[in-house]
Amino acid sequence: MAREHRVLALESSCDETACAIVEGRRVLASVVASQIETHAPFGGVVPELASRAHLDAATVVTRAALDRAEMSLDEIDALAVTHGPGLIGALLVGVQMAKGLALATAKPLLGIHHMEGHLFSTGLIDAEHEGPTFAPHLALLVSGGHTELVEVRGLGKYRRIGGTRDDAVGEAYDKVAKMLGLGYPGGPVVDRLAQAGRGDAVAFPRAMIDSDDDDFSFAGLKTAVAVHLEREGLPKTRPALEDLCASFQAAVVEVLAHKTLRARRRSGLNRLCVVGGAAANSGLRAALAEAAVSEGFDFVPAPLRYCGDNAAMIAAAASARLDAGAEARLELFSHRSLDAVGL
Amino acid sequence: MSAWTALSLEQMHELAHALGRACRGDELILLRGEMGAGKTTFTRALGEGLRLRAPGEVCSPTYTVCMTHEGPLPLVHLDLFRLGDMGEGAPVRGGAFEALGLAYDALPPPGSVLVVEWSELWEDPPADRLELALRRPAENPAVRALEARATGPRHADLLARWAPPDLSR
Repeated sequence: MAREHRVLALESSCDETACAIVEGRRVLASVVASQIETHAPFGGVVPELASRAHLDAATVVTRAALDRAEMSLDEIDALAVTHGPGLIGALLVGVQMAKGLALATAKPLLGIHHMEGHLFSTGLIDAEHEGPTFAPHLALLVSGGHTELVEVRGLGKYRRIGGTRDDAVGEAYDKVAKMLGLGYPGGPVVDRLAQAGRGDAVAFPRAMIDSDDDDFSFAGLKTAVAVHLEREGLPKTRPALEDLCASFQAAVVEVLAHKTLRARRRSGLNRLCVVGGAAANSGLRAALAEAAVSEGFDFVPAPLRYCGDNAAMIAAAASARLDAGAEARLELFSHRSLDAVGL
Repeated sequence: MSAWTALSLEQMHELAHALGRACRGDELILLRGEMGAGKTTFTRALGEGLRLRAPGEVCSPTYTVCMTHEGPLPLVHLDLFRLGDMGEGAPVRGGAFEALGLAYDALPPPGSVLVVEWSELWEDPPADRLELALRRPAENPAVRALEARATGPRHADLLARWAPPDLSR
């Protein structure tokens, strides 16, 4: 049998500039350059700098990916690029570079929706992990900018059944971390502290846990943490800080797990995937893994190294599209506001 | 100026909805207020008042920075938090808007409603705008205080259309 499609993909939708090469679902190289350090002196993201940093990094990560895969562009079958959603100036860097490579090499080019890319992060194969083949599932997509439940019935058959009405999970984590003076991005720090604390130390609200829809709300929880800090002041001891983080995490995880598990049962889907930057959260992974055992479904979390933005997932999605006979095109454009999966 | 000192969340929703209905296009609405003041919640209700195609998709643009929601009057929803030193004061200037795909000399984008969260970080906003300050009174977390101020004739008209006397105070 002929080998699977060999795809080189670029991803530059937000803070990471990434390039990867896959063969089908097998990762031959995946390189990610983060901009967090570029923006650190400014505290926040500077859009002009973001585009510039992507521009500087795009060639570097592409060369590095080809080097690591020990491959030349001639050996690639197709190119892919994230074409939305994301910051327009950032997206354009990846799109223009991919178009340039496609023109120079006369290879086909596919535009991939960033969220569809995340759906393919669970199936990646590398030296440490062999993800399962793509199959119908319920996906919980959680990151700094997104919190969505998506029914995946097949390639391109995605239906968003619910999502956050205000803050995304990752955003709530980062904002709570900021209130606690834990730096940016502080989500992973809160998670680490939470693991040593007591989740029942502070009673935070479980917003919308009993509502019959598949939506979430985390702004009220963030406000509850702010109100708590105004009343009690910042935690004075490490155990108190750990308890506060654990109590916040317990509230987030309980709502996410409860509504996700109910949605899975209602959907009749036997596989649950959790993807996106916040899918790295230890509390969330543990709660869903435990439920998978008691309820008897397949739980497939994205490997930790593919939770955050990367190009391997974009390449894998493109490879699947090529298998399905997708038509590659060159007249790609960047979307500014595409926000629903599968558009 | 109009001011409300203790709005319940339902009243705030009603006010934001009414503001959406009062918009006619080319509005610039600058929101300010601490974390948890209700800026996104306000914008979401405003989006319902604008009769957006999918008002349910309005959520915090802190990470996505700029989202456009389609409707009879499209809502351009911008959040300067990550651009301006995480809410701590590094000013955001014109170049940032260009990098977001917005023409700085044509803000708000013609025919749309531009709502900006963390607008206090914007150094040089256009002169004619509606400024909304949301506050969470320390003594009662369940209510919100809101101050509205128009800085030019077009938005003074908007304020007059939006806040009839029975809604004020």
